[in-house]
Amino acid sequence: MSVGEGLVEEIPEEIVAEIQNRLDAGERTYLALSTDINRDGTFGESWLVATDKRLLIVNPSTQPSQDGSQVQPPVVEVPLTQVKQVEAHEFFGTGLLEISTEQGESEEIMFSRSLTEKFAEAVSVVEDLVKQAKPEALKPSEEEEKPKLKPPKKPRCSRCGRVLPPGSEHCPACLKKGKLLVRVLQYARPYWHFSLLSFFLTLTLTALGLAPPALMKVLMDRSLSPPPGLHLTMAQRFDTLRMVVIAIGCVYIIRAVLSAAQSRLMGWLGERIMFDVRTQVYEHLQRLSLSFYDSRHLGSIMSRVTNDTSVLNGFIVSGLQNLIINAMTLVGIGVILVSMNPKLAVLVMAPAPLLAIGTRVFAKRIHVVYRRYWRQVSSLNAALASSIAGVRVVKGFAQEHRENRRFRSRSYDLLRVNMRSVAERTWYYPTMGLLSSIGSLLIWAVGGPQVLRGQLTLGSFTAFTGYMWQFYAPIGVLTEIHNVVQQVATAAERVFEVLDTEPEVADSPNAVAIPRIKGRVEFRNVSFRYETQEPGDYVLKNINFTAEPGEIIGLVGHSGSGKTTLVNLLLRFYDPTEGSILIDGYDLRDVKLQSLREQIGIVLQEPFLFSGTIAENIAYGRPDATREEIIQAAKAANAHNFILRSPDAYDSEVGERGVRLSGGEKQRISLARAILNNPRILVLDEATSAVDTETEKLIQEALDRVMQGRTVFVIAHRLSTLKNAHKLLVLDKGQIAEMGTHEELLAKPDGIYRKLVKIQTDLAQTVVIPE
Amino acid sequence: MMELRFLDPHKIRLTKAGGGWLLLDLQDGSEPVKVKPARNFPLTDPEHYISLLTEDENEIGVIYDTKELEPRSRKVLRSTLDRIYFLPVIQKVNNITEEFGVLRWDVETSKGHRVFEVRGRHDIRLVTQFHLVIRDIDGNRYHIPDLRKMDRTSRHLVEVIL
Repeated sequence: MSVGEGLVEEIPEEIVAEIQNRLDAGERTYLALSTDINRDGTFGESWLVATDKRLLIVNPSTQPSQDGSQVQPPVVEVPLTQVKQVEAHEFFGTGLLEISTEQGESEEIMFSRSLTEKFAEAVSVVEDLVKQAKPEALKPSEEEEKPKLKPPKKPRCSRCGRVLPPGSEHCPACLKKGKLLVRVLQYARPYWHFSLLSFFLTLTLTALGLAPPALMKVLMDRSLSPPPGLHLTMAQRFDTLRMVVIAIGCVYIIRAVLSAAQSRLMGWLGERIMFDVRTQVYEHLQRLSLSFYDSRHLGSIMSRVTNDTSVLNGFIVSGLQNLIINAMTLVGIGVILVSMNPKLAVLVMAPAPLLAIGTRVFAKRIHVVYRRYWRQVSSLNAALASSIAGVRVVKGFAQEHRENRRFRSRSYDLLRVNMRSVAERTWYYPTMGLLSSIGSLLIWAVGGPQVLRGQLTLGSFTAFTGYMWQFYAPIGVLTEIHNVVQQVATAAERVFEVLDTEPEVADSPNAVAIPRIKGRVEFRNVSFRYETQEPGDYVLKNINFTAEPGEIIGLVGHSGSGKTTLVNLLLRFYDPTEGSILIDGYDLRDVKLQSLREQIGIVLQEPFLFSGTIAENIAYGRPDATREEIIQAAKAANAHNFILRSPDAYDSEVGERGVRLSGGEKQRISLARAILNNPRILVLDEATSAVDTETEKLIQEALDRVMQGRTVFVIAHRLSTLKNAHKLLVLDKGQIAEMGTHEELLAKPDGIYRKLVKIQTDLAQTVVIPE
Repeated sequence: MMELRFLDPHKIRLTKAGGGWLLLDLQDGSEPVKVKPARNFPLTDPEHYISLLTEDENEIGVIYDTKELEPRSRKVLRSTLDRIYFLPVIQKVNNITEEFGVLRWDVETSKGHRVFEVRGRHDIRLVTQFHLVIRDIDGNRYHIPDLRKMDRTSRHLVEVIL
């Protein structure tokens, strides 16, 4: 028996007491769940306990009422042998677990939607227990009719339980930032010598930045205005002047050369690393199974490949260096200032905390404004896109003035947000400027008299003010560390999530290449549900059938009945949840994906053509195909004639910049693509449903030729397409409702297929051509 | 029509029929047929795979290689194709100037000197990285089969605008 983990919770003492005296010796508890709603409908904790002998519902808060009529006993006991059925119901705000007994009574336990998942699992545990206690009782038919609980989507972090920010799958609080950053830095490793060189260059540049004020000090004290006690000849003072000027000039030249080299190096390093990350992410995306794409937005995947990788790059290349350099500059200058004049140094540093706090406050507030700004911009874009795309409707209903009004109001919102950011910036920059000048004022006020009294040389004083300005700059950068790290960590998490996802459908280690397929396809008890679905909620259920080589299998059913899912399983885009699919006796899970898909051709309702020439598109599955083979495939697909009609024939470009092809033409090109692969199994998913009758005839003609000698699966709404099928499968809610030939199914008096055929014939007869 | 049918190049005879049409004699005792030639790969392989189509667009067959034809037929076919697919090859680029996104090309082509204007970059088609087909504002087309084989100045002028 399987017992779900976490289904035995720790029971509080007073309840343990209630339970213990009702259990036999050696009785084992399999389930102990607390609910958050009492049986009287108020919030409170009740317990559902299941052992291998009985079910207990403990409701500790139930008190005997004052008049002595005890409505509900605190503990309800149902022996497992008395349980007739266990059912879970779902309402708008609550859920209910109903246990009906053989005596026709029913016991209930209520819970809020937060606990839906827990109790959905509980049902199957209790069922298993009941089955063990009385194996004959629960009939499988009853089990199937049972309604299923769908727990609400959980936008919560699995680690800390916080609600996730909208549009994100990552909890910002739980990111292990250090670990992530270390992993990000790994990408610089192949280029470590360049990274190191770049780092030293930056360090040298910073050190060189410290030199001019020191040289200024020499210039002042040894040449321009030496302190009175120092006796220097005019010649010595001129010499010093010359040397200092040359030295400062040299520093400037070296800095220019080094910083050019440094930018070049950084640029190269950055592009290189970004290229590596991008390539790695893209190649991994190609490996991933379809299920990965099902659960994510196209835009989100695309931004991982482009935006997020460039955020990482920015961090590796400049962010990290900046942080280190700024920190070192701050410390270095601090040390210099203190060693030159501790008293003045304290004055310089006095505004620093204010600067830090101010920047922090500003960053927080401007962040809010920027976020609003992005929202307004995207709302404006959305309004623009919809009104321009729908321009015919707008003009048709003469609603231009209304669209103008709508746009104007959104545009005005944007203006207001922008003004907010202007307002924030207008207080920040002047205030920070003022704070820094307070530092310099203090120095003039305190240092000036020291110079006058001869306690401080003019040179030292000049150098001091020079260093002071360099001291303030890094403070702003360093207060932003938190934001930078947060941003990088989020980007890193998103990129690594892709890289760490393993394809679900992958070759098993001992997979074999399937030899040339003969075409016998067998579905054995196949059930399937998507990963995101609840257990018990199947898209396909108990599918059993066999297609012999060369047979045409028609799949019929309403939309959503599982037709497309069935062929997706055949292509092994997904693996069946239960059961197995065999081709020529090989289980699909044991064969190499490549060898399988090479031999299956697929034509979809909406053919997808890549940008490139028609010839390239036809040869997509076999880039080595000769021109002769390409023409032959096009001919077989009834495409050759229309291709020749265009001036560039097979060299015509399709896609955005190329020739415009009609739906039917695209369809025939994609059919040619499938034919060129000479597939042993062909899947036609609504291949003719999006084209006009004339084109359908052309395609159908091509299809009839192509289907010969292959096993073909045809999904079609127009039943006339299926007239050649050897076997029809009628799917209904994921199950095979009917199976047989056209004639056999028509013979069923109340059959689904018969009904569908009748509807389509009726429709066809509404238009009668008079003779 | 579904099978690709190659015509025996040594056996067939092509003669001019006026208006871009040819008279195809299969030399199997059947009446000569009026056909028009069409290239299957006008850009990537212009001298192979020439389809011959009847007036109602039925394909009689395909000539695999024009070189294998009997010399007079080959000459007739080549000159007709040349007229249908008028695609001057740009041999030298004298200058390309740009104003408001319109490119003005001054070139020497296989058909002589020509100045033409191109609306924008989407009218320059890269068949491969070095194989260009350029369409001017009137819909005329010009061809650079291999950019690498052009002289340095021409090559540079073209590469700058790509």
